[in-house]
Amino acid sequence: MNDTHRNPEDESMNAIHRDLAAFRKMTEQDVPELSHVARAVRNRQSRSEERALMKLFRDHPFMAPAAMTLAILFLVMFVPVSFDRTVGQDVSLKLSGAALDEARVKALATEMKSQLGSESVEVHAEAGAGAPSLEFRAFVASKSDAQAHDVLDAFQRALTEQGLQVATSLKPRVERVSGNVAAYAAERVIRINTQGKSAAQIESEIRSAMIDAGMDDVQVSVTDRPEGGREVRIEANHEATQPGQEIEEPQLVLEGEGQMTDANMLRVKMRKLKDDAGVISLVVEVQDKDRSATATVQNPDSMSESALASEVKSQLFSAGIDADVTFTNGKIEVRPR
Amino acid sequence: MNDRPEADRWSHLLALLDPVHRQAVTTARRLASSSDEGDDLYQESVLHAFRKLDTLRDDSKFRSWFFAILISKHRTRTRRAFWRRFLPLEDAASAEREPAMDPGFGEDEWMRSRRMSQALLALNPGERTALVLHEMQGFTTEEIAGMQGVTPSTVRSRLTRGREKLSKYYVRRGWVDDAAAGSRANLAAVHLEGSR
Repeated sequence: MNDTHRNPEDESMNAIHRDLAAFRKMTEQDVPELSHVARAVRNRQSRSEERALMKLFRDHPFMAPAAMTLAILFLVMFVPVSFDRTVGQDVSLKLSGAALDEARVKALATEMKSQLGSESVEVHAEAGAGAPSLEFRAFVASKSDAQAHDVLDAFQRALTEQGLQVATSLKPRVERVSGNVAAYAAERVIRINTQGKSAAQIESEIRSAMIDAGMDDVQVSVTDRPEGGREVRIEANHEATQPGQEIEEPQLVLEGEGQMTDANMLRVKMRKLKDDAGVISLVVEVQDKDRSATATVQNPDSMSESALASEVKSQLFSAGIDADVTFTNGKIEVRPR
Repeated sequence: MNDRPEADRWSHLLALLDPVHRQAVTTARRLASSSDEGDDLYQESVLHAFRKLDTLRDDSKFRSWFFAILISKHRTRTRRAFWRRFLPLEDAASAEREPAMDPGFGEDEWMRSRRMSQALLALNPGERTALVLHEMQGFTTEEIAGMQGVTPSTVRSRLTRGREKLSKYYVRRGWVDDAAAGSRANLAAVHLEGSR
């Protein structure tokens, strides 16, 4: 080999060759005898059966412990707790670079109030070297920032075209509230009554409720099935902005005729997670009737959509859910067989 | 249904395991993050095989049946290992202890083995399993496809991607081998004799 033409990949192959040989040798050291393994497995089997007996005991408790459990649960539900709740968005639009007359300021504030759906818009003026800069502040009572974001974008584009310098900001307003565990849980539950409503009305109500609960890109489709019943499909996204931030998706409860229960519902939850080392994992959780399964695929971005679907399908199958899985443009479709 | 007496089923399972025992232990160790972890994976697979033995219709298919169990158990463990990353630091440290240096190995050989183990763990589970089974255990792509529940072309893709990633992993860390310069080894040619 000519040293002047060394290719790092070829040299890495040499290293891989030698490392594989060492790895092979190390893993062949001290292979236990089959009889030894059999003894260990039989011990393990006994321990496992003991655990199964304990579980059986737990599954059939006596009435007194049951009452005690209920009492404790009751107490826990009413123990006061504090939790953070996003109550809306603080919106700010700063204008500078040109003087605006009073009528124009008033018109802008009115338009902003109407577009954002906020109760009021405050205007603050700050004197500077040239024309005073103006700040329009408003509060939007929506947990999702999507709508306010769109409105601010539209204002920014229109005002920039008119020669103004525009700066916008959008901050969620978080309040620490005191309540009990039941109140905290209720925060995450969306209840929608479907009685006597058309598919379009239900679609619209679910979409609004999901957006208010802080979910973005909400797509809802409600269709009446020819064989009876309704199919409700909901797709919503939410991106964590802080490392380790837990995203709690709201729980949807449809009440009225044709109640949605776990027995006739398929839930598919897909999350992309990045760990501290920067490794991305795709986690797909599927709940179909009384069965649930999770598939985890590392480095999904390096795989084709068909390979990804095949891996998720295989993992779901191993976990007891036989389903057709497809990925199209990053979106997953799971159809149990 | 487990109609046969337990002792009979154990004897039957051990007779079937005997010819594949060594290969299965080494496979488990190569898939796992350490030999201890691999031995534990093997035991878990044997226990599962014992419980499901009556579902094996044809003894001549035992080898692929048992390896499919081993791979499935490994995949379940990999998923568990993923969640371990969210444990507090001290728990995570105890979950994956660095193995001590084996006195039977030279420092260089031990280090080489460790870094291969580390590099394999950086691959996704499907690629790692395909590489270990094909490159180190000598299984064909068709056999691996049957065990992983995918098509042979998927296995071939996993092998290609796995080899590329392994090579890039080594290059990124500067793990090139001056001592072996001259032999333009190709991982595909590094078909180490499996212990079949």
